[in-house]
Amino acid sequence: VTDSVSAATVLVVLAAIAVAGYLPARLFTSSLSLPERLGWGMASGLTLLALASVGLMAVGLVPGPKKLGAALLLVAAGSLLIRKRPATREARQMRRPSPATVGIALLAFAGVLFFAVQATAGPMWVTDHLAIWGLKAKTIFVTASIPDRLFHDPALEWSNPAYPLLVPLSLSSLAAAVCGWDGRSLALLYPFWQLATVSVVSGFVGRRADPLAGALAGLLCAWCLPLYAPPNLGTAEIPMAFSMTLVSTAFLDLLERDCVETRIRLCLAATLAAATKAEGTLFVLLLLATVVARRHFFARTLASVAAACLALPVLSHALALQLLRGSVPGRSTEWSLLEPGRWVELAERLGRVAVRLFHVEVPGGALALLALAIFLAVTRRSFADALLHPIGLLVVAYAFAAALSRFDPVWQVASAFARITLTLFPVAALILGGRMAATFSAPADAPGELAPS
Amino acid sequence: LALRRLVTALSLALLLGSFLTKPGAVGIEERLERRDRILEFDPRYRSFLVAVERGTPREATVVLVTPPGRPYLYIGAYVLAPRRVLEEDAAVRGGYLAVYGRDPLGMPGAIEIPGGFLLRQ
Repeated sequence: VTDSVSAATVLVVLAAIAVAGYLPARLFTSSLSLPERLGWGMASGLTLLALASVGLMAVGLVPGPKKLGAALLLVAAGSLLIRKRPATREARQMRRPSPATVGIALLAFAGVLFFAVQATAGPMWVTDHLAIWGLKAKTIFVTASIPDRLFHDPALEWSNPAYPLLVPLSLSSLAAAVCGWDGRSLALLYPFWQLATVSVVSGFVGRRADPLAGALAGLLCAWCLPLYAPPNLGTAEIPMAFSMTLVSTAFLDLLERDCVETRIRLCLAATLAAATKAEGTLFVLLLLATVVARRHFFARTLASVAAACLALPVLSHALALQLLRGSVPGRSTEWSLLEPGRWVELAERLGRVAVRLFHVEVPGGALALLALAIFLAVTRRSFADALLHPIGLLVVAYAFAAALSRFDPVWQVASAFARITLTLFPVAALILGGRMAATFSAPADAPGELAPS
Repeated sequence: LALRRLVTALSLALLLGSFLTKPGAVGIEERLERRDRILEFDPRYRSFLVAVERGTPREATVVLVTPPGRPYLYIGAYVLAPRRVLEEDAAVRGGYLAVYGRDPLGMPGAIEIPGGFLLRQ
């Protein structure tokens, strides 16, 4: 049924992808900490692999390890010819981690190893993998093309043809790089994404706030077992969490200091988020709305730059998809519910969604929600609080989207709400890390840092 | 301030504890158990799909006739990819009919395979 590829082969290839991505990523990450640079290197490597795969298929070649390796080597070698910016003073002055920080980081790494063991316990099996992401990825890998029928065949309507292609392309290009489709070994891509996410979260909080708080934020992120769980292997949730983390950190960096590097990072991260899933596009648009709504807090140029770095990648990605596949109607949203004639029906559906949320979903996560509420109530505000409104609005948008579903809204909430909301946890970990640092390192009479001004 | 820090630390411990004590739909032991869940609801379906895969070219269209339930279709489409897999009620010419769980009963042109039969239409 599938090829046999050893997990060791996939691990070696993933390590090579990370190295190949690290070299070009150095060009726009000189002000970042080492863990962040590693995370960006992983993101760059995977993106380059997917792009190389698409490029080879576009000229009629079959992507394979030699061709993909050569393409990545070419980009990595080319990036060495470009003069790298010297590390910024901020990056040079980063403190050496304390033994406690190193210990916590090791515990976080144990969380990644734990998930990696689970990932290889069996082939990816969840329905969304079989019917959507894995089906598309396997079809692309086996045919060495992106067949038009993935978008326009009525027989595949249930595979959500309108979804973006980054996840299927990541899986198919990895399969091409290891010369086989093995659902057990390919699942290692997911702990790889987890490791990248944890690296970016801990590195970012460590750089912008405090290394110990960064390590703790990374620990919380790595051991978020409901997110890094077997039912999410093979789906878009874990890569979605990663791209949202990249967007969030780049966004907060741009608000702090507008420079070419931060602009590049925000553009790249916004593109990745849009290319992963519609929720990524929505998140980017909510960040954009935050900038527009609070533009009087920012310098005029900064607000315009941030808006452009968020909007242009989303528009470019939408245009590229339109050119690739033409118009593909979404199958899951009943937009006509927004028409005035159906508002009563919409209100009734919203009521059913609210009842389900407060009777099942909220009690199901009561302990975690209680902990978060206490944490937010007692800790000091930090620079990362700029993300609070966007993620809060995103959760509300998920509930509203369930009410707009073409399917039963209660079924929609039951099947997806908790799963997609959990993808926001690494972004929430940035806020937790920022607040931890503000609370534990501030003097007793400090008022706490206010959100960006 | 000390109380604030204590409550902060406790709330973080509570959050981490909530992850560890309620890790989603499955428990720790089950997470680490090595097994193939794709076809465990009907293990015979695997040998049937393997036979269909071997008996049809990659570019073929295959109409799958299975017991009711979307898992049969989704798993069939995934395992047989990149073949075009259609549901039972689809009318197709020039493709294959793969029937699971039934005997060919002398149907002309049908090839018996493990778990069912395959017929070129």
